[in-house]
Amino acid sequence: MGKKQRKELLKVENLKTHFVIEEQKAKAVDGLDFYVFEGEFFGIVGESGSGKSVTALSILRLIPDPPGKISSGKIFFGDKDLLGLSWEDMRKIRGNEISMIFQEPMTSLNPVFTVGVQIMEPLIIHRDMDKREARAEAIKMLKKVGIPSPELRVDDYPHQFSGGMRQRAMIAMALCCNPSLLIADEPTTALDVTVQAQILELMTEIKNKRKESAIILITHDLAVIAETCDRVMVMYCGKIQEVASTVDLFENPLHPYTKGLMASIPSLAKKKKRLTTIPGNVPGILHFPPGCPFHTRCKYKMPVCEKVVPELLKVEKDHLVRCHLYNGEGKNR
Amino acid sequence: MNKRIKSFFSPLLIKRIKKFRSFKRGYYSLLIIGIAYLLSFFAEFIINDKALLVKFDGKKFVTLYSDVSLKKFIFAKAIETKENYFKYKNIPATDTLNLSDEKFITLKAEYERYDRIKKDFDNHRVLRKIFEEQKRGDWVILVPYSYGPNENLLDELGDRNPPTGPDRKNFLGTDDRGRDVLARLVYGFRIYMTFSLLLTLTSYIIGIFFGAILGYYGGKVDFLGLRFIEIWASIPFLFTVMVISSIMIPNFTILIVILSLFYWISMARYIRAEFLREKSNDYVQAAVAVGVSDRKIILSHILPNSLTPAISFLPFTIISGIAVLASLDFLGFGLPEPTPSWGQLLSQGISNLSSWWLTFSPMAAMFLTLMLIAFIGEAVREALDPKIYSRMK
Amino acid sequence: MINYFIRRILIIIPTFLGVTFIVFTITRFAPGGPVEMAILRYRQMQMEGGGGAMGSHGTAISEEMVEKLKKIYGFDKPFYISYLIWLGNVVRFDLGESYTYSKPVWDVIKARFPISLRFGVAGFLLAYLVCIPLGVLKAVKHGSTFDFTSSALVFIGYAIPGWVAGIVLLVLLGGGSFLDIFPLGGIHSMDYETLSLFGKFWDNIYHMILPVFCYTLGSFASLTILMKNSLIENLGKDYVRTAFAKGLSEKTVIFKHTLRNSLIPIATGLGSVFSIVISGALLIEKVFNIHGFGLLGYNSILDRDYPVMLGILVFSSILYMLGNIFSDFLYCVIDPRIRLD
Repeated sequence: MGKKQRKELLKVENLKTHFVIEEQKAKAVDGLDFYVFEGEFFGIVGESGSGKSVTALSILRLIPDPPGKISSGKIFFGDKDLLGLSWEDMRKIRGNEISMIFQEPMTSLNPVFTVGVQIMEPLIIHRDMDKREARAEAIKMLKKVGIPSPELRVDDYPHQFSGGMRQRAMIAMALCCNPSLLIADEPTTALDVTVQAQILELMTEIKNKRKESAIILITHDLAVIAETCDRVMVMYCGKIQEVASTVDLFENPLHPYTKGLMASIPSLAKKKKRLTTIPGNVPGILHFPPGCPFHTRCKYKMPVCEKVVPELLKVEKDHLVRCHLYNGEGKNR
Repeated sequence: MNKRIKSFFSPLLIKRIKKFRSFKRGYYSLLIIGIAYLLSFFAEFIINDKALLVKFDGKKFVTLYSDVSLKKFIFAKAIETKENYFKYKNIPATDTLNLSDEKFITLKAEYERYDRIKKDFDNHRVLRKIFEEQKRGDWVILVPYSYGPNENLLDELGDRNPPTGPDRKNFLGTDDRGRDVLARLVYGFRIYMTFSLLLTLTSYIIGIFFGAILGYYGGKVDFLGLRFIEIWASIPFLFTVMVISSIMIPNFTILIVILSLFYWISMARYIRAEFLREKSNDYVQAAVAVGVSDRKIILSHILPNSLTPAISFLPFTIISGIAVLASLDFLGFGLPEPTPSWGQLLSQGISNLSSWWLTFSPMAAMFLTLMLIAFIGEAVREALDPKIYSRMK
Repeated sequence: MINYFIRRILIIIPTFLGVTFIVFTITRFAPGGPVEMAILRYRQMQMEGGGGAMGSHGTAISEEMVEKLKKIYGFDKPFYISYLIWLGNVVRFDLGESYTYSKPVWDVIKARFPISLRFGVAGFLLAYLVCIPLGVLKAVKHGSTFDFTSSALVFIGYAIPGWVAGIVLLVLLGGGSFLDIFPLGGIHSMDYETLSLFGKFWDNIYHMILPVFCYTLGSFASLTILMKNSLIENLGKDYVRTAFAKGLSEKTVIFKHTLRNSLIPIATGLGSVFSIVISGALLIEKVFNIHGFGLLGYNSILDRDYPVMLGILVFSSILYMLGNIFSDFLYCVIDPRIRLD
């Protein structure tokens, strides 16, 4: 699959975003380099506090300032550097070429406007539709995302929708301008398990229908990635730890952290007495350890891990990992 | 107990106090108003018609708070000298009164001296003058600004009719009854602050008590209590207070009681809401499950966590306490005469519009006081507010 | 929802009964009531009329006379029976007759209320017109010099009650000690009747400027701060991020999405216009000598004009409660999430 020469849609170079918390600088995203191909379903996985949401918000430049700030880096979308764009040019991209779905469908919709009005907004500003056209399009979009009797529900207020329906409405809103990149930040986390599956199904469906546009799916759940994504990036403490195609990653996880995440996926196939978990907790955002940030929880820890931050190494084509195990002697395994 | 104190000064509280101190405007306002209020309890040492110390006939009298002992002494002396004088004068044995009789002269002088003092000893400024004239080694140490809040200065104003404007003697002039405005302002500050603090305290106690019970027990108690609060809150408050006040001339305590009857309502509402929220927290459920008594749960578990709104409203409640007392005093339904009062000065101000000092002085005093408290309130609110203000940029 | 409002309206009844019963009882047992006042007046009349011959020590008033007076003022029956009679009359919109004005209380109140309403509504509107934009601007420019300096204004507004400002303004501008630009009070000039139509109009405005300013000052600080905080709070909400992510401009986000949400707590305050008119009126009407509803109540207390006093109580407590219900209603209209029950 990855053999063909594919065009990069999004290319992030050395992205750094920090937050100022209690007069201390928290490096939420610390030197990120990755790219997303056109038409790709790209996953970002990591525990909470790993910087994955901040990455997504940085791409759209929606970091609340203060306390946050994008301090350096470049984000190429096509040939435009998003970080260099004017606020107005950026505005034209948001919701139009890049759109986003948020974690909390309960609070992400404006409570005082009908769902219809909120879906119509991007159509009116980006597609120059008048109200009637936009409304018709909104109904069409609601139908597409599986809202029953959309011509009635279009006039409902968000509180009249269930959680799953709101997330569908959010997806409709995000897709209505046919963006070439959709960023979904934990779209299923706040939902019931059955609803989660439905939403994921919907997203895969959308993906299959819209071949040339890409999706970035952010989640803490590797199982979700396995079901949907083409390629995965594993993040920990604001840094990329491993990038690989989904197949590669699941067959041959390299980073101890990835291995840990894999082991904690409940599985019926492997008969285990209990789920393994990674010992310890994610370090607080103000207390990232020096050296490899994972060394505090890593069972392969070497003395060098405490001092030196490992480089992101290319182990195979399209498989990168940030770990001292694959450097020098460790390289031979 | 120790544990409670410890838990009260939790790291969060210490952090909040630190944060409060970082808001300089509010912090300094707190210092200023706190010091001013403390100092106001020693106002007698600075502004007072009574002297600090009186030396009279070799005896020293501390007259600052009460000049009764001096009064008694003077009276006794006056009576004694008078008796001596008249006894001597009326001695039948002496045929003719020798006017140049030395003893007679001394007795007469003594009598006249004490009689003179007796006439004016109430006014310590005059007393000092008399002592100076008499040159008998007696002296009076006056406080720096020797006019009292309730002292009538009509005699000293001469042919000027009160209210008189500010001059070198009465810095802020006199009111329409010839009383010193500055003295009334200062003592008014003490009374207004004390009044408002006590009013806040009592209404907080009632409000927190009711709010805690409603919020904690919920259900029927809450329902009935809320209906009661609803009804109570619908009473036109100022009007009712005026009606009551017009019928029973209130004193300081009664007025606090009447006003507390209305002031507790908003606090009860906030505390009720806080309790409802806190009650659902795990730690409370755990305490209930373990069988901790209701009283203990309310007092030591939920209450400390529910006081945030109470604290952040505190300065604003104090402000409204001062404002409402001023309004009642202004309308004539507040503290009885001759209590030094800003509101009463303002009502004089409106009947004597050309005497601007009667309006400006209490206005400035009220403005400064309320503004400083408002600054404190602003800082308290900021310190208790965990939100960070942020915008998309 | 409808149940809620029915319940709210029903709760007016016990409140009304409670308040009026308490005050009615107080008036019945308070010294210095109308009977005593009438006796006093009678004595004074006789003293003046009859000369020195009749009464050196107050004329004795016969028991008969006292009974007659009691009957006139309805003091001859036990207080609870009088209360029931009074209540029965109130239900028939009969509030009795004023002692001082010798007119039906209802007529007295009807004549005074529009005056208060005019000042109150003007002040209230002005406050909203000034405070909402100011609050929005302060929120949008939070932390700027503008925000900081305008805060000073807000604090001044907070620290000077409207009626105190009224007295100061009269001293400064009303010909007290300094300038004589504005009238001392009242609602018309002496020569009002002779003025032209435009002259009358201007005369009204002229007399309204200072009082309305004071009304506005009363709610200025709290309203501005409420607006600012409400908007700031809403700017941090998730839906704002969604709106930005859709590509809306900052203007649209603030003025369409956030403003409507942050107006919710402000708009509900609209219902309290009545209670502000009632309670705020008293002090400002006293300062500016406006013969409105508040001053009527004040004088009725001073004069022990119990029918008027009770009438004002009836009127203002009902208005107050209706105002609260109106607030809740507005709340429902603005915020679609609210389902009161």
